Amino acid sequence: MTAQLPILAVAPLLFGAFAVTVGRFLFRRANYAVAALALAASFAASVLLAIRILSQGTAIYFVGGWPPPIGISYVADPLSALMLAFVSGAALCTFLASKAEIETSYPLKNSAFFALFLLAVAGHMGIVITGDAFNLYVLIEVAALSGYAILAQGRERAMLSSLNYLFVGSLGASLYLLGMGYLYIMTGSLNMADLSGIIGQLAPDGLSGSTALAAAWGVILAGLFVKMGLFPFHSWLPAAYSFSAAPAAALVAPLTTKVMAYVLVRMILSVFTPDAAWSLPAVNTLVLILATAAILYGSFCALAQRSLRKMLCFILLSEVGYMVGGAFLGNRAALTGTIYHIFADLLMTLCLFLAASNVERGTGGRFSDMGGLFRRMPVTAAAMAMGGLSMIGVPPFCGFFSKWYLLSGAISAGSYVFAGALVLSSLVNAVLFFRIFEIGFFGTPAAPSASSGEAAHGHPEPIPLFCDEMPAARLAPLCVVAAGLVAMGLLTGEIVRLAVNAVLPPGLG
Amino acid sequence: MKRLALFAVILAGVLFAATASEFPRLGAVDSAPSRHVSPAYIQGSQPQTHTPNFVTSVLADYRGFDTMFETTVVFLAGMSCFFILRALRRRGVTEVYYYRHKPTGVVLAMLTPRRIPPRSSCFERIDADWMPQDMVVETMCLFMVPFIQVFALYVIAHGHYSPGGGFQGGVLLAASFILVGLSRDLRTVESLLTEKTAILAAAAGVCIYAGTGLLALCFGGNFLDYGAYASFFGAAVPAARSMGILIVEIGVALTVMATLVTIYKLVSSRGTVEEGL
Repeated sequence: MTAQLPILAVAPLLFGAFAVTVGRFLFRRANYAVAALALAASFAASVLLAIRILSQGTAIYFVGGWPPPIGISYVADPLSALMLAFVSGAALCTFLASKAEIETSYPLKNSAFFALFLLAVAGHMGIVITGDAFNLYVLIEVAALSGYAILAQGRERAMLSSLNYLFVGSLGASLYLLGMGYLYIMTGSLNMADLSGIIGQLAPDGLSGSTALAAAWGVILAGLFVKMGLFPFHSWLPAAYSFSAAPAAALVAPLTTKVMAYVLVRMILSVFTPDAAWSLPAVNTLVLILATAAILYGSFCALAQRSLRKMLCFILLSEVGYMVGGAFLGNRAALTGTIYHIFADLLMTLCLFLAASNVERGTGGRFSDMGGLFRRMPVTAAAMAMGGLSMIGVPPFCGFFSKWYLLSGAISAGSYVFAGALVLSSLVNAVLFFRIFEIGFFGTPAAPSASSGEAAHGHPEPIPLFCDEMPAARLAPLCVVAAGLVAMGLLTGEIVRLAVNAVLPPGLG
Repeated sequence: MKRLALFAVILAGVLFAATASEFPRLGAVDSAPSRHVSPAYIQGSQPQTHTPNFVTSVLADYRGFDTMFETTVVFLAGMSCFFILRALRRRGVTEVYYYRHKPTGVVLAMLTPRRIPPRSSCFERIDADWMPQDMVVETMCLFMVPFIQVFALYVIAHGHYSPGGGFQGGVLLAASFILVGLSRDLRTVESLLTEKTAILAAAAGVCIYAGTGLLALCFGGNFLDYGAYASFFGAAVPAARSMGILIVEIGVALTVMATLVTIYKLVSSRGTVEEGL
């Protein structure tokens, strides 16, 4: 059965989605459990697969029994197997942590939400493990379509923001598809391993030798940048993630940008090979400029925000800049940094969004509501502090190590502007999070629903000394993720050795 | 804004035209796509899958995994529409129900629908914007429905030999229901294919596809390896593959039909599935 693990990581989510759809009419009360079970089964299969792949090496699974260029294959190499475990684990944590929110945010449409949630996770997992470039497009569609739907329910302009995301996201997916069309007409293949061999023959001296291949690379890059929200294509992201209901944002925000960055790395490593992907100096320079701009823009816009989730969205924008920039600095350390940062940022974003959804539920999402947070919600605030410290890049946390790799890569590539942007963004993150810590420690708690009634009497509400922390069921996944930040930081050497070095070509300088 | 869009379109067009010069000529036999994997499909389709129409064998067998997810996308579209549009609980809206007395044509407007039984012999419920129906249009449309459906079944079943298959057949089936909706009213469609049945059918269709894939694991094959069913059907591997293609096409047709009807109902009735086009 172990040979079937790649498909068993994705299949429970599909069948779970169909089961909850039927369950709407048959076993409505058990639906949450069914969905959680599907996620848990998928997580278990992914972990088993990751253990097996990290110890025994890459496995290729032929879907339908057809060997690669003819049929579609799943490629479980150390990178994709580990990513699969992270994605399914993140989805499971989000799902377990937001039970109460799901019940209140989508009162009569729980089952539909479960189905869309499971299919969104299935889409992201399929993107990670597939070895076929067109199958990847189909799964981008699955992931994106369910994302648009679940992000559409929420506060204020959620519907409009999601529609905006739909238009922009469809454009991104179409550009990727167009790029695949270019590649197919030039090579006749859709399998990633096969493609990289043929591209190597067609353009042995880099993509500058072939206009069509260079155009393919450019169009694919543009599509991926739109999908991951890199600087000039970012306008959909903050609104879509900050107006939606909390569970949807906590699922989509950690997964979509990171999985798209993973696709970018996959394109560089497995489809074009690093030599070809970095062979166009103009593209490299342009992408580095965009990445630097994204880092600066995200950081400074985050400074201007007054609500927690919106601030996190802009930090997310600058993190996208880190990953894209690292992938185009053109050396081993920077690419290692990018790959490591995909994992690290997934955990950090997850931790911060889960903490933010607790804070929003407990006190309200604006900074002015968050006074006395450390006293009122000590566990949530501690987890948020850990996420924040990791974002800043404080040593025991994983955020430090990805920045370290990225910085050393930037310096050895001689790209001091990018290095400067990295440092500056860390400083801005420090300002952002220490401002929250200050409010949380020393701020006066806003009296709940008291602003008008109490103010009339002239007696400000005394600082409540009680602790109204969330129930343990919500805190447990958050604590696991926060602990994961430290654990991943301590295991950096192992992760880089097992998952990153195993997939980087040995000759990469 | 319009000028900017026009500029962007022209720029993109020029870029694509400039980069297309390297492409092989249309239909060139020595181009990469016609040399690499296509011959394997063209030559292998008949002996390996007993399917003369190799578009079908690529779609449902060689690259059947893509098609499974495409079917999931269709299902997902239906679920998304349901999730976003369906108005399950209406607050502050006073419902007015209109009933027409058949013998006299007198219309009653009522606030409580239960006064009149749903299947009354002399009253029929009508839409707020009801217009006297055209008997010619209605009769002709209802007359066409069985023919459309039979043709749809032919398109599904004959996908191995001629253009067709689950997607096309499913759309035809959905068209037959939508024709009923257009010529009569939404309630007739709802009584023929209720919302619940449609959602269950959509899920069942994808389940048939993915289940066919998963069951192959029990027979020792990989996911979606219909060849593994050879021992179950008591037939040779190509025949089993041909059978597998037919089964998944039926699943696709079911999902496409149910999803399109669901989307039509939701969009035409503003999410109430009560009255509309």
